[in-house]
Amino acid sequence: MNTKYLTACAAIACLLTLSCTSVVSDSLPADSEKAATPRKTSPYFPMSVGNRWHYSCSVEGEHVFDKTLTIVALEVHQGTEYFHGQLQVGDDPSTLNLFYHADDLGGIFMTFDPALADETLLVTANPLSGDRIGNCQVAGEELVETPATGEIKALLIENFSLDNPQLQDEQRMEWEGKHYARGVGLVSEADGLGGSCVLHAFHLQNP
Amino acid sequence: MMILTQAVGKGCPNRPEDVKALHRRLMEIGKIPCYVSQGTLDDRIMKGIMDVQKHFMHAPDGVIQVNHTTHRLLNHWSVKKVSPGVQLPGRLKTAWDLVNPILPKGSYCSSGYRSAESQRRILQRFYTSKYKSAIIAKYGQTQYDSARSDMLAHEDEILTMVRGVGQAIAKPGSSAHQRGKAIDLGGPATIDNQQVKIIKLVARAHPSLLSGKVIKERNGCVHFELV
Repeated sequence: MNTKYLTACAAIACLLTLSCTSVVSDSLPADSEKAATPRKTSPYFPMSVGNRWHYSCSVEGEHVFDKTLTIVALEVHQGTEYFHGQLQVGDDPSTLNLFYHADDLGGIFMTFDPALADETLLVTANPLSGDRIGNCQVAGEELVETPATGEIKALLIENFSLDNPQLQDEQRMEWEGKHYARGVGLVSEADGLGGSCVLHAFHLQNP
Repeated sequence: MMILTQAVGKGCPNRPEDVKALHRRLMEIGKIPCYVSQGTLDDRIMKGIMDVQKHFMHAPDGVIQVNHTTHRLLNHWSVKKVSPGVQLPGRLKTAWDLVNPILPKGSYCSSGYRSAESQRRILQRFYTSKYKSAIIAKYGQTQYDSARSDMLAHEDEILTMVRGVGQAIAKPGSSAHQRGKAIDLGGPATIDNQQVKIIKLVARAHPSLLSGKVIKERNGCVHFELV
């Protein structure tokens, strides 16, 4: 292979990277830089600044609190684009910061601190029944009803299947599942203790 | 399948073949002892009808109309299973025994009484493992460590923090399951609505036992509560 050619390519790539970085970071602090353009993400968790999902949470049918997740910014941390989300729960004015980023395949990862390597894969770009997603599995699509969407097809991702009469009661309590709907995001989440959060309203900036 | 051509029971035509069919079905489900019937409505058969209707009627009338509720439920009558480890003490057992045989096929009891300790264990697992990073991110390491040092003494604070990161969970001891007042039913999603219908029917017949609160939970269970 031509060494001069490789060197030239490397130099061009370097220049392109530097020029992109400088566009993003010109006028912003180093650790929390606003990025210029959003990237493509999983259709099961549409990401765009301004997106908002409002959930009503209950235990055994009794309302416990509401919570709202809002995407407030697109930031770059250590060269990676993150959608910065803020979760506000009940009347608590303080929020939990969540950072989402998509890998090259469109899978959505979440972390509480982009400086740490501690990330959780939430959903892949094209999840199929039987796929493993972290410690969970894709159970398949089913109809789910929420106040925000009415009846809608949603993908169930759960840590194990509850559909087994031989499962011990103690094991059932450990169950966790989430429903994601294409073009909407997380529409409901539930656990084996009877707790659940259901989508009551949502707003997508670029539906 | 019990086929009736005309009504059976108090004041009914009681055709011998219909009475024999009913007699056979009542023996099959254990509502009457085994004996030979000549096709005549007797006291034992009448008692069997009343016993069946007590499951879902406040005032049993002793009449089985063709294809009406008693007839349909008798045809679908079957004893359902209880998942391993499920505890059904006292009134929970009474409630389960009432609804059990008339629930749709595929139903089973997936949960009954749960100790506050079970709930506490899960709350603490949420705190120390699943939501640890989220809690530290929101409340800080110092507050996390402080509550972690004595989780029982700081249970209310831990509950607030776990809820504060978005997890809906009951306070240990407060759930209807922990008060011995709730049962969960499992089974395919396609029978959820039938399960709800049966529970409501039984609740109307036994208002002093079942509260009438029935929920299709997001975890796939149908949850109902006792008074």
